[in-house]
Amino acid sequence: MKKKIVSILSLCVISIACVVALAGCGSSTNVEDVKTSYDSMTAIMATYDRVLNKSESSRNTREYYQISYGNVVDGYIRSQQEDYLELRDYYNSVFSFAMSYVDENITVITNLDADEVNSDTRGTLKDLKVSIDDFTESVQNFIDARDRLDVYFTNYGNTAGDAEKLSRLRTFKREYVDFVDKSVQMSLNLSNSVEATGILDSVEHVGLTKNYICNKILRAYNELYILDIGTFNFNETDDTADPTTKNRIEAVLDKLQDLMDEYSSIMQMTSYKTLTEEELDAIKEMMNKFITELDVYVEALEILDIRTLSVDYKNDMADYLLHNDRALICLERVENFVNISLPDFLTYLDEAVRG
Amino acid sequence: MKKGIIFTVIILIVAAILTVVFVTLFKERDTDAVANRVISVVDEGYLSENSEKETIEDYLDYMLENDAQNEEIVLAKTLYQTYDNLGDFYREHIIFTSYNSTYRANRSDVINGLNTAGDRAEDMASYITSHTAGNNQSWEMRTWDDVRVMMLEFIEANNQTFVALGNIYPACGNSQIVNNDFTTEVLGAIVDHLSSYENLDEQGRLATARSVYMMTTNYLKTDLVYGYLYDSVWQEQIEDIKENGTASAYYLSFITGIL
Repeated sequence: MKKKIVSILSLCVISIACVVALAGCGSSTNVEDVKTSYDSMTAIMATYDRVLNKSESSRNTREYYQISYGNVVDGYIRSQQEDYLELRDYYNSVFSFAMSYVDENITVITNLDADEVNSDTRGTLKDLKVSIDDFTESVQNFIDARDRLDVYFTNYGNTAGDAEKLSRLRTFKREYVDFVDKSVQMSLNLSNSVEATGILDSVEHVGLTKNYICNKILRAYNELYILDIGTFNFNETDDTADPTTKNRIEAVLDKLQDLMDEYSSIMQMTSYKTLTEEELDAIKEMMNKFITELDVYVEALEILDIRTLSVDYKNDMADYLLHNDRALICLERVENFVNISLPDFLTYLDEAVRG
Repeated sequence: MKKGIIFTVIILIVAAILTVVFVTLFKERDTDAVANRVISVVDEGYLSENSEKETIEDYLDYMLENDAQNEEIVLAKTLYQTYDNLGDFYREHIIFTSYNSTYRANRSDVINGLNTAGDRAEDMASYITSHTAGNNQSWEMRTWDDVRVMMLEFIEANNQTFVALGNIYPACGNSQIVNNDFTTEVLGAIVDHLSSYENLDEQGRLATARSVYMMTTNYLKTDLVYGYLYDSVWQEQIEDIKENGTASAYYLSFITGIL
């Protein structure tokens, strides 16, 4: 009897092991696959350089993607819907940030020889490849959506009502968010792959500091941005509501934008200090504390739930507090992170790495 | 025999799953209950503006105007302001804590302490409203004997609450920026002071109340708490206090709230 039970259990374990092994066989992704996907992505992007082009931002000397809605649509939103201009700048900023990271760090993966790929890195390659492919697909969707918007405004811009135009803009906005979101996901997956190579643990690596910082702080910026901007409805405010809440959230977003520029300038420094191992360890320790704080920030954002506040309660905090009594505390926490923790950390970082 | 083994295995698996589910649910419920209670007391209860606090503080101010040397009333007013400062701090941070054995050991002290303190605050406010309106000064001054009894219970309950919260936060706070050596030392010193309060004479209680009040007013400030990790001067002093305790050159300044 005992033998029989042991045999059955053994059979079960072996079967499960076989299933797991077989499942793994079909999904193996290597560096060459990632490279192929990346090349395909850059080729598609080059095809649409009439839309996806870079130029200097008015905010600083960094080259940003300056994606526009198209001349006709831009003319309309400039005169009628300024919030959408602001939104476009935020999206471009996030997109530029994510793409810069990808362009500057993809070679860390694509230059790896087969024998340099450790098991940790191998485990991340599939996600990286999928996210590159997803992004490539979203490029096409985004361009199509933008073209449809442009055609609509060109043909019906003078005759259609504002409600219809806004409806079209909202539809396009969803494609825009999806497009930016995919670029962010791709950069985050690349950051996981880079970290898995172990390259950031080696002090001998050229440009280590910049890579390390980019890798760690990337998540901070991208998650902050996409959480906030993807859900915040700039147009919704109850006429009877105190405008303070909307102003406070917009102030947080503006501050994030400024800090992103500041961070970008740190990352573009030509002169980096050569760090000792102790100095690098100190940076890593501070970075880890900052990342933990980031988790608390994200938790506060989730509890605050800007989407519900802005859409269902039209930014009326007094009304919203009856539904979510932690909202105000979380908004304060978000403000403290953006106004205190983040600038403090960036100042520290700047002083620690500037040559 | 075979059926018995299978039945036992199934029962064990179900029991294990149910245990995990219930423990998870209770953890969530416990941390939520503590956070909700603290927030409601600070936002709407006896530590909020336009509550019993206003009536009681106005009463204490009035009594001090007529008897500035009454140390018991000075003590009550100082402690009420201290609880107010502590409440503001924990209101902002208690949501972002996680459940562990320290949480479990202290949670009922927080809830019970806040409930008792809330009841006594209501009693005091009600008594003050009904016994002081329209009466003459000498009569009003005699009300302190009755209020004093309620105030002692109020203080005891609050001390219990803030000692428990002072134990919870350093052990369970998730943020490494805000839950740092500085806040740990400050909250630890406050816990020590409030824990020893009951065993002190009147002068000792007054000194303790002043010290805790100064610490909560001067140290639990957003810029100091958030900026600590980047302030090497503060870090050196706190490190010295942490290592040398009462023998530290900074200790006396620290516990009197003037470091």
